Amino acid sequence: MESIQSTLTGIWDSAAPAIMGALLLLLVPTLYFFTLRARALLRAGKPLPLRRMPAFERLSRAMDTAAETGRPPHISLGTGAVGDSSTAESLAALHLLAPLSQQAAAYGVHPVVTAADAGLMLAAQDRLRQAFRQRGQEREYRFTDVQLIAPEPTAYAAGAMGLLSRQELSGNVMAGAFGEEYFLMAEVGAWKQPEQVAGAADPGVLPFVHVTSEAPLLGEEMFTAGAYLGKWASHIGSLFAQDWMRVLLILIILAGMFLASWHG
Amino acid sequence: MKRILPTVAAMVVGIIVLIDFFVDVGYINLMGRLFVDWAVILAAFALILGVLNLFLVHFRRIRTRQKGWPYSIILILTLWTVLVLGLLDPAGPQGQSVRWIFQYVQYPLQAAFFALTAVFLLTAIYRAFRLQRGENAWFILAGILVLLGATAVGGWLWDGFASIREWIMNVPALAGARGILIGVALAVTITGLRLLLGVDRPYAE
Amino acid sequence: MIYCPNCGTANRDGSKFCNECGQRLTGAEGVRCPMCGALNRSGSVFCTQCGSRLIAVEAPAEAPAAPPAAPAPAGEEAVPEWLAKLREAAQREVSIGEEAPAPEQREEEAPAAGPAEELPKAPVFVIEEGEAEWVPPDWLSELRARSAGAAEEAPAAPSEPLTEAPAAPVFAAEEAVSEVPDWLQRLRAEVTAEEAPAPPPPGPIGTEAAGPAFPTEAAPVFPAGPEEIPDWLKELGPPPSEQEVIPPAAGPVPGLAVEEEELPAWLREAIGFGEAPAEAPAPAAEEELAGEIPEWIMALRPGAQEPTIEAPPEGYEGDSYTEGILAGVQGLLPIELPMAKPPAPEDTGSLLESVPAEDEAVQIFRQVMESRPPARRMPKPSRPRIGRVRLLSALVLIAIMCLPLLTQGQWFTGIARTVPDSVYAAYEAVEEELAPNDAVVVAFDFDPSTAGEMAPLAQVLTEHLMARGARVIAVSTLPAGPQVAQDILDRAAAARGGKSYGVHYVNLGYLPGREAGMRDFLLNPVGAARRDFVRGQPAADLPALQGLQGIQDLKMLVIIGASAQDVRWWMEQAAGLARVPMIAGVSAAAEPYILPYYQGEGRLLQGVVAGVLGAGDYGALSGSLVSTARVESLQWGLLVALIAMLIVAAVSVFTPART
Repeated sequence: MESIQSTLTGIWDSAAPAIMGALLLLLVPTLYFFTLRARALLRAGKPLPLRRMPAFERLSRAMDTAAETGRPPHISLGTGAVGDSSTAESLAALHLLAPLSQQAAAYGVHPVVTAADAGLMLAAQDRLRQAFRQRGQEREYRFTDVQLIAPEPTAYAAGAMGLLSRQELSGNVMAGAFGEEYFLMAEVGAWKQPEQVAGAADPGVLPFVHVTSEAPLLGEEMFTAGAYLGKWASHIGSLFAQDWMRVLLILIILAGMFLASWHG
Repeated sequence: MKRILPTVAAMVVGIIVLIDFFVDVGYINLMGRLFVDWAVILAAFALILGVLNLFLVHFRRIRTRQKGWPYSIILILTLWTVLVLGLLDPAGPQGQSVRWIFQYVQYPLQAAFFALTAVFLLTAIYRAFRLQRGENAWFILAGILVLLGATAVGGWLWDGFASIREWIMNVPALAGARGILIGVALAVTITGLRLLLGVDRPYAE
Repeated sequence: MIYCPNCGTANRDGSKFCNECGQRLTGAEGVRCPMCGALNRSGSVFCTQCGSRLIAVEAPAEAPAAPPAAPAPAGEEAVPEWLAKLREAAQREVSIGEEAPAPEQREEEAPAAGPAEELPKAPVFVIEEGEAEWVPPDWLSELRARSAGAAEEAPAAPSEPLTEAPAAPVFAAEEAVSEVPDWLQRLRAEVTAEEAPAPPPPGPIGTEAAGPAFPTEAAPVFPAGPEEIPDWLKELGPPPSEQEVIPPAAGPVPGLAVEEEELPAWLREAIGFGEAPAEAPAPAAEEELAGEIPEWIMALRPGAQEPTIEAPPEGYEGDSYTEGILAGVQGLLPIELPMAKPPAPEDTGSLLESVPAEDEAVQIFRQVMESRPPARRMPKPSRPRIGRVRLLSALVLIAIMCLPLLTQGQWFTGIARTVPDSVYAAYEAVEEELAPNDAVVVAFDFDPSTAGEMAPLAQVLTEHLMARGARVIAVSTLPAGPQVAQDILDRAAAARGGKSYGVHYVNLGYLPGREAGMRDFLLNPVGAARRDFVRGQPAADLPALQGLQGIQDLKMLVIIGASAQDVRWWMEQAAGLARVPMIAGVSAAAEPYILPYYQGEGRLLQGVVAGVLGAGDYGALSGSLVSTARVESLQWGLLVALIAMLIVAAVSVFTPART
C-alpha cells in the first residue's frame, strides 16, 4: 500500500497540471456530445430527464406575483465579481437573471437587481436591456434597475437589508457568491418578503441558505438555472456531462477506498 | 462582426491565461500576466461606472422622495467626505484622516453589524423549525452535541462530548461538504469551459 | 408620466419638453389621452400607451349647430346603408348645377376641427337654384302632411335658450303633433329644468320600464324642445367646431353652404329654422314607417321615459374641455354624463326597487344600505413579534456576555481544557522551524467584520513570531486587511518591545487579484508589493525584505483567514510553487474545512489554530496573554446559545408545525 500511495503521490506531484489538463480535454468532447443530445431532445419535444426543482417553480410564482401586484422582485447577484475566483458563481447568477429578465419584460415589470461588483453590474444591465429589446420595449428599460450597492460585502449586506425592509417587493431572489453576510440579508428577506429563493455554492453558507429559504439551491443546483429556466441546450448538456464526470470521480474514490482497505 | 469579435477575443485571452497555468513558456507567461493586469485595470474603471450608477440611483431616490431618502443623503455625503479626505491628504488613503475614519467609524460599524448574526440566528432557527419539523431534528441534535463539545460546560459534564464533536465535524459534516464541493467544482469547471469555448456569451447579444 | 409623442420616452408629469428628443409636450400638437394622460400625435384614434379610444364613436349629446355643409365624397367613412340609398335617390332626382361647389371645395370650406376630422362627414343634399325641386319619397311626404296638420292644432312651443350651458347648441322647439308617434313626439317635447316633471319610477332593472341606467331626478336638462334630434340623426352632422345656440329666428346658418329654402322642410324643422313650413312633413304612423324604416332603427327608439340631458359640466365649452386632463381633446363626451356618475347614496333606493313580491327583501336591503356604520379608524399595525424576540434575545446576549467584563470572573477559563493537537502542532512548528531573522510572510485575510474573532488569533501568532525574532512581512488580499494588520502589528511590537517598523516587521499592504495576486507575490514579493503600506517606501529599500527573492527564501507562511476559501487559495498557490511550512489561523466556522489539510500523511499544514478558544490555547502555550474576559464572554455566549437551542427544540416538538 505504501508503494502504491507513494507512487500515486509522486505522479501527482510531478504531473498534476498535466493530469488536470487531460481531464479538461476529456471534458470538452463530453460537453459537446451531450449538448448535441440535449439539442436533439429539445427539437424532438421530448421531456428532459431532469429532476424537479421547487426553487425554480417558486421563482415563476414570484414573477407572477410581480405582474399581478405591480411590485418588483429583488434579485441579488451576490458579493462576488466577474474576473476573479467567484466568476463562475457570478455567471450562474447572470444565467438566473436572464430568463427572469425575459419574464419581467413580458410582464412589464422592472426588477430591482443589486450587485456588489461594478463589472457584474454592467453585465446585469446588459442582460436586462437585451431582454427588453427582444420584446421590442427597449424604451421601457431603465439602467437604474440594476444598482451597485457597495463593493464591500458587509456594506452590500447593509444596503440590501435596507432595501428589503423598506421597499414593497414581490419576492427576493438571492443567487451568486455569498459569504456569511448572506445570512443577514436572507433573514430580513425571509420575514419581510412573500417569496424567497436563495442559492449558494460555499458549504459554509449553505446552512444559512437552508434555514432562510423554503426552496434553496444548494451548491451546484445554483448553476442549473440556464437548463431549467432558460432551456438552453448547452446548459442541459452540461448537466449531463457533469453527471458522467461525477460518476467517474466516484469510481476513482471507490477505487482509492478499496485499495486503502485492501492493503490496510 | 459585432458578435464574432468579442467572442474571439474572450476565447483567445482565456485560453492563453489557462495555458499559462499549465506550461512555463516565457512569452505565454508574459502575456498571461499582462492580461491579468489589464483585467485589474478594467475592474478599476468599471468601479468608476459603478460609483456613477450609485450616485444616479441615490440622487433619483432623493429627488423623488422615495422611502428612506434621508439615508441616501447620508450615503452621498459620507462618500464624498472620505473621497475628498483621501485626495487632500498627502499620504492618500494611508493618511491619518482616512485611517481615523477606518479605525473609529468603519471598524466598529462592521464589527457591530456582524454581531447581529448571533441574534438573527436564534430567530432563524426558530422559524425554520416551525416550518419543517422532520429533517431538522437531526439539525438540532447535531447542533446541541457540537455546542456541548465546544463549551467548557460540556467538558465539565463529560469528556466524551469533545470526541463526539470531532467525529461530527470530521465525518458527516465534512463528507457532505466535500460532496457539495466536488459538485460545485464540476459545475464551475464546465461553466468556465463554456465561456472559453464561446458557448456562453454573457458579454454579447 | 407623459410619454413623448415623438420618441415615446417617459417624462415626468408637468414636463414641457421631452428629455430625450426635446419635443414640446404641451400645446396643441397632440391629443392627450383621458385615461392615462399620455400625449399622442394629432389625429391618433387610439392612445399609444393604454390603447384607449381618443375619438368618440358617437357625436356628443350637444349636437353641432352647423348643419352639414359638405357632401361626403367618395371614399370617406361609411354612412348607414339606408342613408346612402336615400342619398342616391336624391342625387338621381337632383342635378348638380355648376354653381354648386365641388365636394372637395365644400370640404375645404367646412370648418376645420382637429381630431374631429376623423368623424364621418354627413352627406348633404344640395339643391341648386334653377333645378327641379326635390321630390321626397311617399313616406316622407306623409310625414310632412301629418306634421303640418299637427302644427295647425298645437301652438309651437317656444324654444328656450339653455339655462345652464348657454354654449351648448339647441334645436328650436316645434309644436307638438298629437298624431305624431310617441317616439317622435318625445323628440319635440319641450322640457325645462323647472317644469320638467319628475321621471316616473323606473321599473325593474332589465325591463323597458327601467329606463336609463342612472336617471337623476333633479338633474337640469337642456330645453331641448320638442324636436330634439336623436343620436342616430345627429351622427349625420359634422362635428361642430364650436358649439353655438341656433336662434329660433330664421336665417342663414353660419357655415351652411346652401340656402335655407333649398333644404327639405323636415330638415329645416329638425335644424330649427323657425316656424315649421306648411308642408312640414307629418310624422308617419308607426305602422307605415315600420315598412320603410329598418327594424333595427325601430328598435332604437327611445323608451318610455324621456331622456334627460344634463348640462355640461364646468370647464366644458364647445365640444371640448378647456381645463383639466381633457383640455383640448375634442369630440369627446363630457365625462360627467349621468351614465358616468356613480349614483348618489340616496338614489340607491330607487334603483333597488323591485316587484311587489320582492319588496320586503328590497326594503331590508335598503335599510342596510342606508344605515351605514360610522367610519372606524384602522388600527395601527402592531410591530411584528419577531422584532421583539430579536430585541429580547439581543439584550440577553449582551447582558450575559458583558458579565465577565464586569466581574472579571473565571468560571469557565478555570475549567481544565485539552489543547487540540492542531494547536499544539502549530506552536511546535513555530518553535522548531524558525530562527532569528528568518523571513515569515503573514497573510492577514480578514476584515473588521470578522476581527472580533480573528484579531486575538492574529495577535497571539504575531507576538509569538516576533518573540522568535523572525521578520514579519504582512500582506492582505482584502482591501481593508492592511489597516487591520497594521493595528495588530503595532500592538504585538509594543507587547514584545524592541521592534522597529521596516526592520523587524513591515506591512506591504493590499494585493489585488486574489489568487493571481498571491501567485505573483510568492514568485516575486518585492516586485508584486512595490511599496509598503505605512510610509510608501519602495519595497526594495526595506531592510525587512532583504534577500527575499521568492517563496524559496521564505521560512514559513502563516495564513490567517476568516473564510476557508482564502486559506485554501494561499495553500494551493504556495504548494504549487514550493514546499514551504505553513500554519493556518482560521475561524471556528472554517475549521472543519481546513483541518483535513493538517491531517494525513501528505499534509500541507503544519498546524491549525481555530477561533477565540484556539487563540486562548495558543496564548497559553506561547505566553501571549489573550484577554480572559474575552474567552469567558465567549463561553457564556456559547452556553446561552446551547440553552436557546434546547428551548427551541422543545418548543418545536410540542407545537404544531405550519407549512
